[in-house]
Amino acid sequence: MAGSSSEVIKSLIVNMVIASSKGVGAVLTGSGAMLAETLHSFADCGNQLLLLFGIRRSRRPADASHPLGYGREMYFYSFIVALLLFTGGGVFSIYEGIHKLEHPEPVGDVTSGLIILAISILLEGWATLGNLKTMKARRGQVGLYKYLRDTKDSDLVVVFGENSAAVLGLLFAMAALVAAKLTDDGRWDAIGSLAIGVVLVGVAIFLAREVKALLVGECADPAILKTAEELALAEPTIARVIRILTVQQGPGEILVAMKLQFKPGLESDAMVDIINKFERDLEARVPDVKWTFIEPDRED
Amino acid sequence: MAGQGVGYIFRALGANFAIAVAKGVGAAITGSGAMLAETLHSLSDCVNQVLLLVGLKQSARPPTPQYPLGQGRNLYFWSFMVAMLLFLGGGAYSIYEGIHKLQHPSSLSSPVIAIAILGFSLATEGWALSGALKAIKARRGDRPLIQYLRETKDSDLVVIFGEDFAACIGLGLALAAVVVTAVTGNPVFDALGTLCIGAVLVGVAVFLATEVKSLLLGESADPALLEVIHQCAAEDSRILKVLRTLTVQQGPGEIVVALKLQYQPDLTTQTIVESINKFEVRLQDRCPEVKWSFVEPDDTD
Repeated sequence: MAGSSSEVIKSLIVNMVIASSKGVGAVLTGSGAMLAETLHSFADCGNQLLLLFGIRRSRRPADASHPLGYGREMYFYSFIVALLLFTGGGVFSIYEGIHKLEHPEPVGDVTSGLIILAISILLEGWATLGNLKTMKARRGQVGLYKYLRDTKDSDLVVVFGENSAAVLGLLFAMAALVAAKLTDDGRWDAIGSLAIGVVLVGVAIFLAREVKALLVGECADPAILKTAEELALAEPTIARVIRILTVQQGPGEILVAMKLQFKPGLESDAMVDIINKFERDLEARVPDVKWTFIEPDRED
Repeated sequence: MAGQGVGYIFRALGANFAIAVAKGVGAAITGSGAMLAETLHSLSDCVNQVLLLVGLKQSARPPTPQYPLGQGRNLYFWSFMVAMLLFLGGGAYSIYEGIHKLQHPSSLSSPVIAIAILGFSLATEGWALSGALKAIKARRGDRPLIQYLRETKDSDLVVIFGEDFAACIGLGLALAAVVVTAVTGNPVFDALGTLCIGAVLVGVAVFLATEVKSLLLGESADPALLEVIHQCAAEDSRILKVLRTLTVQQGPGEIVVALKLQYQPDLTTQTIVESINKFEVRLQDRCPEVKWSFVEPDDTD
């Protein structure tokens, strides 16, 4: 649903605070790695801005060139974010890890690094918990993994994927920093970067696959098929449902098209009334249904 | 259209592969690092054509419960990915290289080999481009080329044409830059040539991405279809009015039509069903690309 912009804004603020604290750390320590981290966190803010832009674009009304509106803009920008997470996040971290392995830096003072990481974990954790709470409210009894795979609210999934990958990545970074200090071996830091890169690549691939399915035109939740069939068969003049098809156009926007067999002997007026009543009932039961086309047909 | 043959994709793939081989031979002869980078670049161009072939294959998958309208839009998805790669791997990379050359100008080591390879590449890309233009000519009829490129739903052909076109301009620029550099001995021209190539690639990639993205979001079909729909409706006196029509281009050569028609008030179920089915047959006869139609009798819009 386009209503999750508050989750995106929360993540944006978190990333801005983290970027600023890393920036302060970079100035205090003069570390090049910390400066790179600062730029990296600012790039994360770019992802949230893209999602907010997508939410805005997806609200444009339908026009002649796009008769079903622009809801799918949300999926488009979610996909772009997944791509950026893959390249700017994952591939970049792996490249950095390999570079650090080849040229390990001596382990200096880790105190400021640990403090910044701890602040970042708290903030990202807070954002992730917020996402989890919002998702809990939407998924009800459905398991989390199944919800992530089935939901049509790509913005929420993308923000959650980003935040949880960030928490995991920060934990790796912290462990790597501690291990590097204890063993006085800079290569632990490199291994940390590699692990973070692998996590980001994995999360990005999961997100990209899910969002791509929505982008190319997935059906809506199969439960809607059942609801529509039930409603149709409850109407005594409808003999059977010949064909039913749903398309998830954007978050909270579903098109339903059906071919129904009516009992013989109905007049046009009565048929139109029945169809219109059916459409009203369906939209009342499933408010996400924005377009319905009901064709009377006969069995072939 | 998935059914109209994809010779132009294989032609482009063959051209890019031949160019990659020529550049590879050049790299082996001269030992030039720049020529080796060019070889890799041409090989990555081949990846673009492979992606389009993947898109064509995926888009031909039959409808499934998860994708009730089939997967035609996969072609638009992969076309978009190609536009992105053209932007990053082509345009952004060339601009980066041009800036690098401006900062560290190096004199041309073997301009004759470079000119020979560029000339061969230009001829090969020109051959690929003429193939794409021929395929376009057959489809656009009397429409001007730019209008066809903006209106068509056959994203694979547009993407191939855009790639070949940008490659030809780029090679022409590269040839000019190498000749001027060889004559003047000033490597700045080589760097400027690379920058210009980058700008061309970025421009073409942005055009392609904008067009393909619009298709990916769900564009309406060609507006001419609306007239056909109204004609088909007018041929049945029982249909009083077309209340609402909606067309969606699902994939290349695949259109969904949904409409609401106002019928005479006193018809029976059987008459309406028969009228709708005949209407659908007329519509699909005149526009075979209509793969799904849903016609609802209604009283008001």
